[in-house]
Amino acid sequence: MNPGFADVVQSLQGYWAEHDCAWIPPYDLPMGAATFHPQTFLRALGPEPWRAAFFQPCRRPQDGRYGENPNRSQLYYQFQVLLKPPPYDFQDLFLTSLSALGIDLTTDDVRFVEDNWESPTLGAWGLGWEVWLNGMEIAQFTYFQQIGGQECRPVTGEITYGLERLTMYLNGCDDMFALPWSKTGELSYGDLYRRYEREMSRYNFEEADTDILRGRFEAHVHDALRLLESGLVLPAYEEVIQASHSFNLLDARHALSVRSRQDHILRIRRLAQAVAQQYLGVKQPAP
Amino acid sequence: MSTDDFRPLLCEIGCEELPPPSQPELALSLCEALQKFFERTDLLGPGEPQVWWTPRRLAVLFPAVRRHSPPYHQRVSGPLLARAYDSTGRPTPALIGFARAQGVDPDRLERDGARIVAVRLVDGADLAVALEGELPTLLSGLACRRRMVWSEDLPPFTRPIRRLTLLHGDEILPVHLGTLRAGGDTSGHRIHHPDPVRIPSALDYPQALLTASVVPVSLNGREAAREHLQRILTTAASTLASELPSHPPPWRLEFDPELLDENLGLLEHPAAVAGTFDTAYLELPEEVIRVVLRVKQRAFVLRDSRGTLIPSFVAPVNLESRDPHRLRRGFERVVRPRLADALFFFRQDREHPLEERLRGLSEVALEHGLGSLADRTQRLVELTERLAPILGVPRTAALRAAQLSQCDLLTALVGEYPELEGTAGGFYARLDGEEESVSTALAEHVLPRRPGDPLPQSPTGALLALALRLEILCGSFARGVQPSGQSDPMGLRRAAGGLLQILLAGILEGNLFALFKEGLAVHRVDGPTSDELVERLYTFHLERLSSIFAARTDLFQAVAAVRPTSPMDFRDRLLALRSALDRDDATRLVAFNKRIQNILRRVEDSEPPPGRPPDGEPPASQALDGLVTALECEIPERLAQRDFVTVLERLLDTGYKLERFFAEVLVMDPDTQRRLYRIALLKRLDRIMHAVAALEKIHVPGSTS
Repeated sequence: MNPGFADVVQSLQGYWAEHDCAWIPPYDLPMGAATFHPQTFLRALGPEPWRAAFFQPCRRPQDGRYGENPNRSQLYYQFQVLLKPPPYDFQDLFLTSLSALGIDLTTDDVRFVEDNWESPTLGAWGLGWEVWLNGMEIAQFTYFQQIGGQECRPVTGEITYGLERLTMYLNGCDDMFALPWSKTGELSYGDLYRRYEREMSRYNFEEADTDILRGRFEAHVHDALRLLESGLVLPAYEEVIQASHSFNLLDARHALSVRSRQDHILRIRRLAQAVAQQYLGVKQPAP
Repeated sequence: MSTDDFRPLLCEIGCEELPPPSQPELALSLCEALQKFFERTDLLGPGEPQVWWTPRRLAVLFPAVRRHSPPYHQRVSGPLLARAYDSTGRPTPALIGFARAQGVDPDRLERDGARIVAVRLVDGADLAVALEGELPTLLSGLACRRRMVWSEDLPPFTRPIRRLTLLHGDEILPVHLGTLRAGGDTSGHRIHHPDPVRIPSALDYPQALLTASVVPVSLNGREAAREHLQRILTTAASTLASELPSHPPPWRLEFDPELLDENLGLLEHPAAVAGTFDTAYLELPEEVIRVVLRVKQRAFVLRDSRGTLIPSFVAPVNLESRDPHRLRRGFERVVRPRLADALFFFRQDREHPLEERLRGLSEVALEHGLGSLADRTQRLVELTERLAPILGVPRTAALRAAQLSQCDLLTALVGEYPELEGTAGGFYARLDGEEESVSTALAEHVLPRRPGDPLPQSPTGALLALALRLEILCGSFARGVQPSGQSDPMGLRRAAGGLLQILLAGILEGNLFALFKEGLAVHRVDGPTSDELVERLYTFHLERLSSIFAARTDLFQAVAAVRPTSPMDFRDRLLALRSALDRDDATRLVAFNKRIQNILRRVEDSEPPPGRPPDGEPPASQALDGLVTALECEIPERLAQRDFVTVLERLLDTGYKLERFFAEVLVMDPDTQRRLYRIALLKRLDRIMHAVAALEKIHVPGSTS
């Protein structure tokens, strides 16, 4: 029987737990990618080793399609694996995880295709690949080089699985909303999220109040600065995450000119860099 | 082991998947670096190295490298002779100290001119020891686009290095690179041969790869690798023939060397999968289907014997699938939603004619203070209006095309596939019922997107393509945005290269200085600022031109010195110069030109020459005057016809008379009138000699400069 969405998550969690990855709960703030999770962003800094795996809901307001596009949604799930330092057989571990999910590597074509990752808001970049399964991107494989403007030493190896695509492929299913939630039940992905996508897309594109959003953005930025001055790095970082989400919403509403968009990104990046510096104990005046 | 024991050496660096374009660059760079190193350490024997690469390895095989280089005499300079011995001839402390430091008896020191020299017999290099010392530096010095760190104890590289293979004959060299120890194995194909393969001896390397189901690309086999992949693709495609009987064979793969190379860089074992898609997607323009398949799947499209696009694709894969049917279904399932998305965008775009998007252009801001897309459109229209008469292109269609040129940027399709910019404008305009020359110009004006691309074929397309590039180049220069080093955010080098290629194609002939002036005028730059920027733009384009022509530097400089106004003119001069230099007497002419320049450099300009030749000028002088006068008459006409070959022939023919002149006539005659006359004659000659190029800049055998 084909695995449902939840089965894929469970299977990955089981697999990586066997490889000494701590199971971490998802973070309870809206974020654009699992890289924003403090257990990714902050743990990638500094010399301490780190092995973790978790799934994380991600929101990209601009990707909403009112629940009508079978491949796109404004909320989706990533499964993230972090290995610091990355082991010698990192790629093999990943390939074995695909086998564990039921992908037959002697039948299907899996390839590592150059893709360099960059997050302008987080002041972060890394080199790696997108992973193709029969020509479809199912995962992102990255060696972080810089996070929050800080060099990563040792580097962290990051795998981000696209859970919806992976499950769709395993089910031979062309519509994410038709995915079975689990192999036992009647519940589908659409039962859980179709209406949500419809309403959230309306909110993101039509109803979100841009004045309120602007106010929120400013408030989060302001508070992040204040908290950094009081030496409260983790609370400050939560403000950064929220500022970034407010920015994404403003962007989806086309409420920012090219220049002001750049400016917003820059302001978030400066904060992310300040957080990274303070987290590492580098003495720097707040921006 | 004897010191002259030359044996083959294999060096293979095993990596995680390297980006396709960097594979040949790195492999070649590795070969060069090793070769230099072996030369330096006197370890290299005769024979050409072989170079291979795959996504997961770079390999070099040298036919002869020795394990040890022989001991050699090293000469170390010591103190000056004067400081080495005191007045009584006894060694000074400086000399004794030097001898001790070099481990040489003071009596055995030698003299080299005014210095003391110690000559020591030094042990030669040991291949393994030397390599271990050199490898980290050597790898750090390879031509990498972007390096990354993955481990503390290995040098940064393009992607992680996971394996080092060093075989000298059948000996595994005891070499460490960080935590890696060199081995005698190579890795096989990930799936077909997961276990490592032992390479018995360096020369067995290609065979070992074959055993391991790995097909590498070799430096001399790039064309063969492309052909191989093409054959595999064509064979895979032919399996579909029975499913699509309405498409008469033979089917033809759309040849695309760049896409083949990109794919080869992703394959260790080329294989292919072919699949079909619903004919409903043929509603999409062919270019869209091609781009969707190419960009998202790196797949190829097929045409039947009538040239009709077949609703199918063929994609390279890195696997002989155990279940080809399942693999095919897998690919088809990925291709279908991509085409569905494209079709959705296409239909959505078609709800509004291109023209309606003009209103939205002001919403899209450009970088670097260039205003909005609406501002760009207005500048393009104005520029087209200015250029159309200069270049002799009918203005109505050109203006319409310029007006619509930015509209497709607002379509959903181009939003999703930026590669379709221009192309989309072309087919949307055609579907809107715009004139054929307008839609063709829209499709062509983005060409060439990159070097080697086709160029605009219609005059209107070429005109708009020129206008677009001039608008960007002049606008950026006017705002102080210029490429520096690696950084070229506006793609100005590519724009300039494209502009020159279009002019070289010969559909339009334009004077660069005039084009830049018009381009600056639409950015509201004129007067002295404009003159200065025209100069900078001209220099910038000369740099591009030099890389397009890839000519000898001195010849390029010689032509550049006379500032040709168009790239075609430049090319013709360069070609004429090249063929003229084949003549035996070319060297003599260049030498005379240098001599004339040397004489003229020493004279002052102040005094006017006499109105007529002084009486009693020697025949050699008179003969030269006659020749110069004749040439002054003929050459301008030849130049107007751009007959540079004849001009240079005429100049070469002056050699004999010049020789006689210099042999029999003294230019710097004590008689002022004679001197001034002869200088004026040489000046006239010099001017003629520069009709094609500054000949004195050419390096000829035996010349010093």
